[in-house]
Amino acid sequence: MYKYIWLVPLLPLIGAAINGLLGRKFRFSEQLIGGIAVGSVALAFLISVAAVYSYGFSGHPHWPNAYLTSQDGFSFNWIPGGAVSVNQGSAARRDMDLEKQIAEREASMTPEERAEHKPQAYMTVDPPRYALLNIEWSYQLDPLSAVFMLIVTGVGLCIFIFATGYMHGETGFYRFFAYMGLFMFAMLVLVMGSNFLMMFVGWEGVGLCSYLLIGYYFDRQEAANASRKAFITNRIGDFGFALAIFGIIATFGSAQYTEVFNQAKSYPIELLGHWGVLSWISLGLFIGACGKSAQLPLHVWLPDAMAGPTPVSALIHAATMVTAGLYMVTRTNVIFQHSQTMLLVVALIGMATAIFAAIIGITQNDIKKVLAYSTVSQLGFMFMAAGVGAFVISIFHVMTHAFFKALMFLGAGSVIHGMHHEQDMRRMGGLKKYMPYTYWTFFAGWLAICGIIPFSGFWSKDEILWNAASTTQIPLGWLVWLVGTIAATCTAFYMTRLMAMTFWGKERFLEHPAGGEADEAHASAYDKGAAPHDAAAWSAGDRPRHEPGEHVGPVHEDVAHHVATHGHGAGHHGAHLPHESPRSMWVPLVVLAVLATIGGLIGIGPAFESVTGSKHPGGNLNISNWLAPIVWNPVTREFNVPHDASHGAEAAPAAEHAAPAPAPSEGGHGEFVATPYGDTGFNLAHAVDNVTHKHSLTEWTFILISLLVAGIGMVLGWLFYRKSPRLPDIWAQRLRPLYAASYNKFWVDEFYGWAITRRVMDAARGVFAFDSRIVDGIVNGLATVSRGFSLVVGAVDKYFVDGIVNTIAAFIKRLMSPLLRAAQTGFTQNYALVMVLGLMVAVALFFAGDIARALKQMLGAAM
Amino acid sequence: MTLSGYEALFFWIFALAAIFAGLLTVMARNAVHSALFLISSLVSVAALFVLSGAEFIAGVQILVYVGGVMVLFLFVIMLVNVGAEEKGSEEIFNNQRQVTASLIFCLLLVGGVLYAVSQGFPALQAKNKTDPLAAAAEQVARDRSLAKGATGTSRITADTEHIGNNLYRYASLPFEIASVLLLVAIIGSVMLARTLRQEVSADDVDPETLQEEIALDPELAKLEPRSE
Amino acid sequence: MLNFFIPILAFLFQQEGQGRFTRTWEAAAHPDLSKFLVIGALLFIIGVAGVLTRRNIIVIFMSIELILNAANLNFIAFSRYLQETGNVNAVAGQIFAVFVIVVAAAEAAIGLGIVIALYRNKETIWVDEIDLLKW
Repeated sequence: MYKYIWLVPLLPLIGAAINGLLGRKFRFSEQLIGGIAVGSVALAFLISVAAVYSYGFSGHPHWPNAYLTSQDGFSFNWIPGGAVSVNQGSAARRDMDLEKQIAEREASMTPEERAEHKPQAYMTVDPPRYALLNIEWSYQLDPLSAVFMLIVTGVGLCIFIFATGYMHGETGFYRFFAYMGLFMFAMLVLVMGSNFLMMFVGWEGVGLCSYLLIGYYFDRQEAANASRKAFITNRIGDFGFALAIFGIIATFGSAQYTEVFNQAKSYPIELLGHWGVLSWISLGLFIGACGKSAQLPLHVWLPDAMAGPTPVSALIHAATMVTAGLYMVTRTNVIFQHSQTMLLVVALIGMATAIFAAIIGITQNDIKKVLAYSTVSQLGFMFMAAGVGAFVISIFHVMTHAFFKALMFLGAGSVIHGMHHEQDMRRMGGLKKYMPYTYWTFFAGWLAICGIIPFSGFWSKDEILWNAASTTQIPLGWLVWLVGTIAATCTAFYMTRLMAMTFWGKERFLEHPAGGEADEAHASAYDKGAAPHDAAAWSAGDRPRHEPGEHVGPVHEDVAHHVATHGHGAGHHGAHLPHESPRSMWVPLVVLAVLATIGGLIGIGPAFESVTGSKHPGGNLNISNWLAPIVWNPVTREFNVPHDASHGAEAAPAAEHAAPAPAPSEGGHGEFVATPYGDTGFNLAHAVDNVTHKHSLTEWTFILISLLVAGIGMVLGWLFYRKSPRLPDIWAQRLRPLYAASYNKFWVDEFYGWAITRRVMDAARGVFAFDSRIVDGIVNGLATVSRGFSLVVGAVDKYFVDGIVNTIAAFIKRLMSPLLRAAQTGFTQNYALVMVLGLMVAVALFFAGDIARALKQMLGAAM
Repeated sequence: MTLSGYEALFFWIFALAAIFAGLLTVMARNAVHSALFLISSLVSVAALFVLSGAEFIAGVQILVYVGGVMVLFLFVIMLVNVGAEEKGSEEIFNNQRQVTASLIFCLLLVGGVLYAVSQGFPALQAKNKTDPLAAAAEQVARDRSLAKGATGTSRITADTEHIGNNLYRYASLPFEIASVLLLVAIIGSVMLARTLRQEVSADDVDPETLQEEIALDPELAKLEPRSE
Repeated sequence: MLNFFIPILAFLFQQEGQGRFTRTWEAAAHPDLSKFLVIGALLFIIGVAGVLTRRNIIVIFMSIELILNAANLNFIAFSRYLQETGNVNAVAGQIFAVFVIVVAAAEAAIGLGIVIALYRNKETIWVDEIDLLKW
């Protein structure tokens, strides 16, 4: 079945194409569009499940190596590149005797191949190295891409089903699902691609679909601005990513993962302070990840992206697109682990982002914004994990986060739908009894995100914090742990706040009716750009545009259903009471809630060895075992093998290497392994170990600490928002600067606006002024000079030249005109006289000699 | 061709008559007088032709020139000139300059001709071997041998016969050309002398000019163009 | 003045041998070709004078006829002279005269047609009033 993974991206694409191209033209019904979309994704999911099962669980010969579809023929020669000069990192290569490898490869080419691909001569200091760059379009099935395939299609399926209910009644129904299908295609290409360029294609594709979907309500200024902001911020990251890809091609001569990583693992590690080519590549990759996964400082787009419909927020900005950065970092963990500086950078930025977003999330009033900042914060956690070397755990957290965050977003969507597109939590409250399904599923998500055992969030978050404390790959691990713990506390606090304000307590919406006239007017005015966006004002939400007085909320075809869910028809005064969502919306919630509850059990860590019996129970089902082959071990300088190496012949010899030299990320488990990263300073786990003298006790200490802080956060949240509602205001007054900073998102947007946007516009204005005044001035000046010159020449011609000609003509005229006019008497007899005179002259001339003689004779006789 | 006796006398009479008539032609105030004087001049010259032995030409001159051309002149004078003399004191000679110039020219030409004749003729005579008087006597004798006419007063000469022989034998091409010339002259004169009405009736006016003329004289439009 | 003309006339009319009067009488009693030519020349001159000086267009035409007539006289005189001096082509002069008369007749017809047309347009027969060619 794994041979058919090429269908997995194709099916959503076909569904999107049908919906997008034919959906409006042939006026598909909502059922048809939804059916096509959901059906395509469901099929893709089933094929993914079957493929992953056949790959990893049924003794497949490729396990745990990557399976490329090119091995079975599905490979499209996308960019036939030819010879590429590989001249980066030549010093490192020399150290590794890479020349020998290249020479071996050259020797293995047939004479025809060698004749075809002549190396180009380059002026380099080193002798030119060349490689054959051939970029193909083929899909790769390996543990990492398998995990992401399942997450994307599985969670995506739930969200698609939810969206069919949520987007009911929209005129752009077909467009929504077309874009969503396109997004699925792009995301799957991203995670299933076999080389960096396919990843880049998917990268850009999901960025594009994010733009299209955030701006789904394109007639609203807020949405249009947000979509542009998302795309442009993404693009900044993409620039770094592109440079990194160039570096990869220039260093390794190929873009295929297998090729690159096989070469990269032999490179020397660049320790802290030594910055080499792999550090540059890692930097570029991480910049891309920052843009895509909304890390500091490129996080600004994610909160604004909540202007899109809620399913979009769930799918793209919680579960899948924002995790693409994590996918990329984990995929290239070989390169990252070669650069200790970059690992530190990743960890620190992840840590900073986590606490930063958590602080902001505490004060937000829009339910979706809270979840957005929560997403940013959790992404920070994931990068923290990656930075300390626990790549497996970061992917595990991606998975659990996808479950509970998608669940909570969909739950929020259900709340918004039930509240008739009200998003401000200050107008919610007590929804527990109106929307039971939504409430209980959200409850599960809440417990998961707070990190309560045995919900999924606990397993992953605890492992992250443990790995941060015990890491031997980077220094300052203790700082990362500390800040992460504080961020976890904040997470628990604001999530409890959300629960309290939304589901518990009294129903505030009865006092402040949702969808009031003033609010609608404000929203309309804001859309038109008249009213400024006032953070303190009631939020406009993601509802479509309405004129004041118009019916707010989706059109309900089933009036009976509407009445039924209200429960009581009487007492219905103008304001609509919230109601539970239809089944198409709460069934996916239930599915996701189940996953959020039990999904973490695949990641039970070694701390529970005493309970489960093995370090990583579950065989291939355990996430650590599953993802181990894709993580590179800097000690062994090879990729890990699954800890339960029970199948595969290749696994056996590798297991020998594995046993004596475990990965440094698990270096804290019993043995202190000397890593190639040298002394990384104070190690918190080791310190605790020195106190407890028992490793398992150390781990349990940390588990208890994280449970404790989660509990503290939850209690504080309950205290502030259930027990004594005046406490928030008191503490806001006391911590006024911090409160203001948090409420205003640390003024990051304003700073960017001042520092970048306005400066760029000033520069543009300056360039425009230069162009219009100087360049155009020069051109116009030349034109004026030409005109002046032509004036001068014209004057010369008119007065001087023509003057001469006219003078001569006048002179001739004055001379000849009277004479000639005198001859033209019009009098025929004058003409006859002239003829006769002429005749006489002719005759006289004829007889000239005779006449002369006669005259002489006469005169002689006369004398 | 020396004439003698009565021939000489008649020569002088007719010669002086011709000159006098010619002079008066040019100087007459009335155009009809001019025409009549021209007729008398032509008749005198015809007589000189007879004295030169060119009887046919004399006859042709009288018939064609006088009888045809001068009658034509008289008709034209009638058409054109009738009212011209009523005024009486019209000048007949054009301006002084013209008259003076022509007189000077004429005097010069007279002097030149007389000189040339008087100088050249003896030279011409000298080329002839024959004695003019003897040749004239021979000519008289030859004339006597001709047959007499019906009334007995004149002889029938062979001049016409000679002309006929030469005209149709050696000058037949010029003869034909002359006939074509006359044909052209007939057509041309008919065409030239047409009135506007005649031209419109014959459909010989081009449309633009026709419109202009109709604008001036509306009756033209009524004229039916004669078409085949 | 007279001193100038008399010798010219004497010179013109001189003849060798006999006395002046005798010679003149002899010349007059036997008019020769030269007399014919002189008569012709005089007629020609009168005609030219008439063409150049008269105002009436019909009279100008008649002067042209005089000119042609003078030319005819010249032709006939020479024809007779050559006949007597034994030239074979003597009769050519008379034939020429025939053609001159033909041409004169044709020309008179056309010319008078032009005069009629001109009179219709300009209503005048005085040539000095017809100065359309005047610049």
